Amino acid sequence: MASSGVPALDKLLGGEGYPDKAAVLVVGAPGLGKEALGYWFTQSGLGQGDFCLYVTKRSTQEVLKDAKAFGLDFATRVPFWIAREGGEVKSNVNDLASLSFNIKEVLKKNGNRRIRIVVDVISALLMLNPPETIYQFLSGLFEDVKRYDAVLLGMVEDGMHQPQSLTAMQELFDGVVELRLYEEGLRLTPLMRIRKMLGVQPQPGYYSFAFSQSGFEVNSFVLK
Amino acid sequence: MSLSSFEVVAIAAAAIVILACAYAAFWAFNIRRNLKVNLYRHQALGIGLVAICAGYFTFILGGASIYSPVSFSEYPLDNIGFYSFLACLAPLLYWTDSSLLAARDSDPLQRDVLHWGRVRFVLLGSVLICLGAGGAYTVYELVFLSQQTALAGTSVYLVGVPSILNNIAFLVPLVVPLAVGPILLPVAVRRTKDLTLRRHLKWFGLGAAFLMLGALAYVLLTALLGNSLLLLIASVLYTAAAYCLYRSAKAVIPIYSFTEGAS
Repeated sequence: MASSGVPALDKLLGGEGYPDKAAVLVVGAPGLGKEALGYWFTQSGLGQGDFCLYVTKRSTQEVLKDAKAFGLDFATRVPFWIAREGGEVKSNVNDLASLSFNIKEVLKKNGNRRIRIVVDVISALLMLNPPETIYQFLSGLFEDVKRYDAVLLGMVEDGMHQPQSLTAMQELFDGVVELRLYEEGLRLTPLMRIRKMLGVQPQPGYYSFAFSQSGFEVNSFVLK
Repeated sequence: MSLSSFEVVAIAAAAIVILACAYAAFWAFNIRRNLKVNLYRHQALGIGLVAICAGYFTFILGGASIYSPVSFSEYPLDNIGFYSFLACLAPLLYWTDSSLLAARDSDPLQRDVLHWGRVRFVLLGSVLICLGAGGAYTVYELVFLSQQTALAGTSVYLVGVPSILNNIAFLVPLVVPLAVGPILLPVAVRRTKDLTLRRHLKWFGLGAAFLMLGALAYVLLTALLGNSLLLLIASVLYTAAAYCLYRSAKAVIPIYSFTEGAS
């Protein structure tokens, strides 16, 4: 198991975090904090000495700045970056073949270590390519995840893609964590749900979540 | 002072607009509170501020139409009124800026609309400087000059400053916020495939159009209609604008209710 870096989320996932050799998708509206789950996952991995690969459409500077806003600092231990700027390897979402090749190469070189992968380019890739091409790319990536005993956390924007593309995408992943904003009268509540997770009993219920000084808080949420 | 029944209706209409604007602002700030990413928080804040400004103007125009002894064509907005109008355009520019950055962020190729990433510093800076100069003059005028010498529009001048600089000082905060959005946002909307952002921009665009129509109604119909009828017409348009701003705020991110969203 690979800790998510958030004790409250680990508890929801059965106590220890995301399952091994699994690809987990975080689906959520823009601005709700999907990336933060990626930061915590990366920081937790770095703390345990895992090899962490961060694949992003943004520059490393932007990611570090954003992570800092959530109280995370990658100053001492840094992940391996495939990023638009500032990373070890340059990411180009316009060139799916080279992106796929670069990820494969990095995984091959570090196959002797425990690996964590964070990918925030899925939405961008879905916008630029036909969905079938992206399903193919992801299927190949998931084979590597199994082969190298890695855990992958991907993020995809809700409301940015056609619903059928998103549903098909969720089918590909071993686990799906969903973040959404729920309207209840005049109140808005950020909710989280574990839609599915390999080896974990399905949990139909929603949990309210909040980012606080101590990190990420999760509380059970009762529908009225 | 006794009010005619028509004036009462006009005041009620204006009150509805103010309430609708307040409701739109409430939702914008509510959504902002729940967001974590600064870019989207800025967008929500921008809508909230624009809604407050729209409500403020309805309040000002409502008051002017009821208490002004003359028609709008003769009604002089003094420098303070003119300056507060300029200041109220700043949130529009703030929202436009955050929306353009959000559009860039959601574009898979991270393309800047007409180099906005660089141009924004120049434009935002010049608007702020001009607003500062205009504000300083308005305070000076308030303290030292009589209201007689301080009528709005072309008569707004900074004392001892050449007229071209005066024009720039008051034109920049007027023209830049009104021009940037209509020029750049359509490009951003066409380019982005972000359905949420498109929905948000569509509603905001509609809201802005109703606000402009309301303002135009004052300018074009003021000679033909009485103040109360004018206020009533503008109130209908501003209510439509407030509704669009409310929908725009709620479209910043997808919001669900379990009757339709849960599966």
